[in-house]
Amino acid sequence: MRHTYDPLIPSAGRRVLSLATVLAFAFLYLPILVLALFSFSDSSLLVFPIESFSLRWYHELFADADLWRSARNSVIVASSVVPLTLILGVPLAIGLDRLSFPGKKYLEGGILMPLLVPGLITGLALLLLLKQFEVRLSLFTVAIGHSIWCLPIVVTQVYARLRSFDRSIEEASLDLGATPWITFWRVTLPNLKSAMIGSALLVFVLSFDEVPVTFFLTGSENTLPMHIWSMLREGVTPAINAIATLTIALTVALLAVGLRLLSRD
Amino acid sequence: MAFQIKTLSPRPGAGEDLHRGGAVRLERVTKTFGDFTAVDDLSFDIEAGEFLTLLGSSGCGKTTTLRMIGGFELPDSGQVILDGERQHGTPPYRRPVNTVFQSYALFPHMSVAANVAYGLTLRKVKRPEIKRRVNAMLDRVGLLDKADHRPDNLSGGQRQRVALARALVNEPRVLLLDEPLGALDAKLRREMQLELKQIQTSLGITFVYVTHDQEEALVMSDRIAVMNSGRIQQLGTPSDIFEKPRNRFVAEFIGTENFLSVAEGVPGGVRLAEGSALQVAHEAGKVDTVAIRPQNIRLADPDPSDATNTVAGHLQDIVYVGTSTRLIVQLQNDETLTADIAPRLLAERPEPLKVGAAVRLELPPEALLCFSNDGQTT
Amino acid sequence: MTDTALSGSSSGQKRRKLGGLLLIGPPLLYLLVFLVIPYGEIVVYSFWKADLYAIARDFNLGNYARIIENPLYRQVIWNSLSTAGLVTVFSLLVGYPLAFYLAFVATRHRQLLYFLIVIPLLTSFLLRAYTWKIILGRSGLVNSTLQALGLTDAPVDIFLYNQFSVVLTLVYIFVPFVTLPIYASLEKLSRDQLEASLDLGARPLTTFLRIILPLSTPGIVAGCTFAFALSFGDFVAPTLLGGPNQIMIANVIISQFGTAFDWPFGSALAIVVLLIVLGVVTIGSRIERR
Repeated sequence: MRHTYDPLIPSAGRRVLSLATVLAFAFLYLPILVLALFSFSDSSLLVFPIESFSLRWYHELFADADLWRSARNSVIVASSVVPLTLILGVPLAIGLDRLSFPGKKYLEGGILMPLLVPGLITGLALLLLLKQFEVRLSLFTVAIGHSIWCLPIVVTQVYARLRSFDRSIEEASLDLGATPWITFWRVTLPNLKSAMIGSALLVFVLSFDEVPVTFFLTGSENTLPMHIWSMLREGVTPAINAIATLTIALTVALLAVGLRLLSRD
Repeated sequence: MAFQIKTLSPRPGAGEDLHRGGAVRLERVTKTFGDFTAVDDLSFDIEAGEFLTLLGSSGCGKTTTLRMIGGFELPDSGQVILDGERQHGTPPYRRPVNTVFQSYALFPHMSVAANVAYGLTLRKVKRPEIKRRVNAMLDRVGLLDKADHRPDNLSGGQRQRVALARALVNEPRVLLLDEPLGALDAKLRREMQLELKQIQTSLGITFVYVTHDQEEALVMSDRIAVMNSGRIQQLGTPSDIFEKPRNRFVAEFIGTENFLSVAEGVPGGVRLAEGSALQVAHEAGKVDTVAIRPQNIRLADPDPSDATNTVAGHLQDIVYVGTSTRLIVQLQNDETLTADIAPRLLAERPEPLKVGAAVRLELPPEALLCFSNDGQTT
Repeated sequence: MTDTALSGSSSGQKRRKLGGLLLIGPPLLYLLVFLVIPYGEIVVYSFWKADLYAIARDFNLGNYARIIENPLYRQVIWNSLSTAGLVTVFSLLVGYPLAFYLAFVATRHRQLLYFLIVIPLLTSFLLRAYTWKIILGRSGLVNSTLQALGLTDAPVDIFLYNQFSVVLTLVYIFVPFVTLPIYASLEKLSRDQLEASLDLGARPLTTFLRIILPLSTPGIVAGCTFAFALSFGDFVAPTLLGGPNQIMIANVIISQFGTAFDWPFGSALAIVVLLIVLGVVTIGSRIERR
């Protein structure tokens, strides 16, 4: 009769919630599924039923040299943003957790700002600075923009992990004769691994897909989203369905790998 | 699923005459979680107005039983009956029962007074009346000055009293308490034990109390149900449980030590595996083990001629425990006896006892507990 | 409070200060150069004036005056606010039950469902906006289905290039953003407190309104602030899916830095956006503190 009796949620409520959840997931996933489906359709029209299937759009995709260059650029940028944000973010998080200094409160409050403020403005701000010093726009400038935007993610994740950290293991290490520096490397840092890997993956994915900050900071070399953006401005081509399907599949794969890594931690 | 048409919530403003029910009956209640049987065909009665404790170690089913009375778990079979009315399927908010949770479960976003008032605000009690009753209850638990504080500003003991007040202000017929004193330090626990007992007696509400601490159970309860593996091993008054444990499990649980194996029965008593013959007070059936409390063992003269109910051994260890001295004596078959002897008696001896000395211990017949191997007391 | 663990207990204040400085110095410097100063530049630019293709650096409030006085810009700001507001409300309406289900009903498949909510979050914003363009467009899925079912003869235009399509797309993007913080808040609730509420006589609905909802406020505020702030400053959705009336403030800013070449004015607009976002965040934290 009943799977689990829960006085908190009467059966009518449970049914309504289940329905709402199913609808929500349908809302989230049906468009993606439609996209994936049409990426295999031979026709360039989005009409049901699909007459014939082909990999035509994927071929077109793979033949697009510009696209591949921009994808490569995105990988380059994302791969540089990750170490950059980690090197900057981990010490900052540790400092926030353990040190006290004037203005700390403002930093704590303000650290999230780059995430909330529309990326456009962050990109804009950097553009003004770069123009002033006559720095040429390039993938390098894009990476800097991304790092500002992604730094809060690393800081908050690592900080949260530090808050729930058991200090006594560090004290034990010091007690056993390790210097603070060695304790940091051999005790503290390994325990931050999960937070660091998690935020590294997140930063990679977010940097790879980033649009607003990149918008003003791109030079002659495009990132993948910028390339897609210009494709979209020109008009809709089904090759975009293929890109979408591929990137979603890649994201899922990356997530699965990430989860596997994290669960081993 | 049958709904209760008649609501069982207590009438507000019932005044101080609270002897209006609170009898709980469990009829063949069983609850399993997957493969694990938490409560196994349990049947017993709790009388209205009594303080009954469910005593046992974790996993014995006491908390599950409590939750079924409260309505948070549904029995797989059997009935929970309150004052003659079956409660099957009745949700917690319709039962005249309130619970004090082990974690206190105070609402962090409300003040102490708002917490206590919560149950009253859900019924049609007028505001001034709510305020009066909340203040009276807070006064009773000694927290009137903390009425506007938030729970996180309070100590563990204070939070515990808020949880108690919050439950009692609703004048339930039955109060369920799930190890409420577990997180308190020893001194506070002892104070609260007495306080809870006083409150229960003066209000006349049925208290169903869950704990693993046998001393606590002995201090507070009118009756104790010792539980193990989902079943009741013994249900009785504290003195019943303490003096006459029904089986070895209960005996061990309430702190009986000194179990000695029996080789054979002899007229009037038993012969121990160790060799000595002992007389026992009541004889019935086959005896496989005898036990005696450390406090009941007496130090006998080493002279074996004056030996009724004595055993001989070597002193293995002496431990000073403050109010008594504990002697650990090894018998000739390697079994050990632990005896608590008053330091005064030891001091009266001509020579102090040393480890390794030969001693004789007297085991008075009336203090011997007899058990058979099928788990029952004979 | 224990800073001693890493910095060494008896080595004196000096070494501790140096260590601390080395630790957070570089990141703070980085932020100073690439965050604080650039934002400062925007502020400064906003008070200047564009003089044809040069920038006249005389301090004046002309840009701000223009924003306030010109109904066009007021309209755009209002547009952005209303879109962001609608997106927030609808994302909440979809996201809260989802978070609730995940926290209280889905015991066995919780991990999987959580995973499924995170996935859309990590896929490209751009592509997710694109999917709705192709679904809602003239030759898109909705229209072709309607025609195939015989409900309409010709493609219907009402689905695309209006506020509906912009809001729908942004809701689609922000539902996971809103769901996850709410789920985090709900997960922190102890089961005991909820049972205590039931025990004291509160029905499930009452328990929800008086205990669950108030205690999930931090998650609601976090998610909604995020959704509002990011929708407010978005330019992707209005560009791809909005009509001429759906121009949002981000689009205007872009044009100021592009064709219109009025960087000071664009900067002033950016500051206005910044102030509004800060305002929303402040309101949010006020609500949370209560």
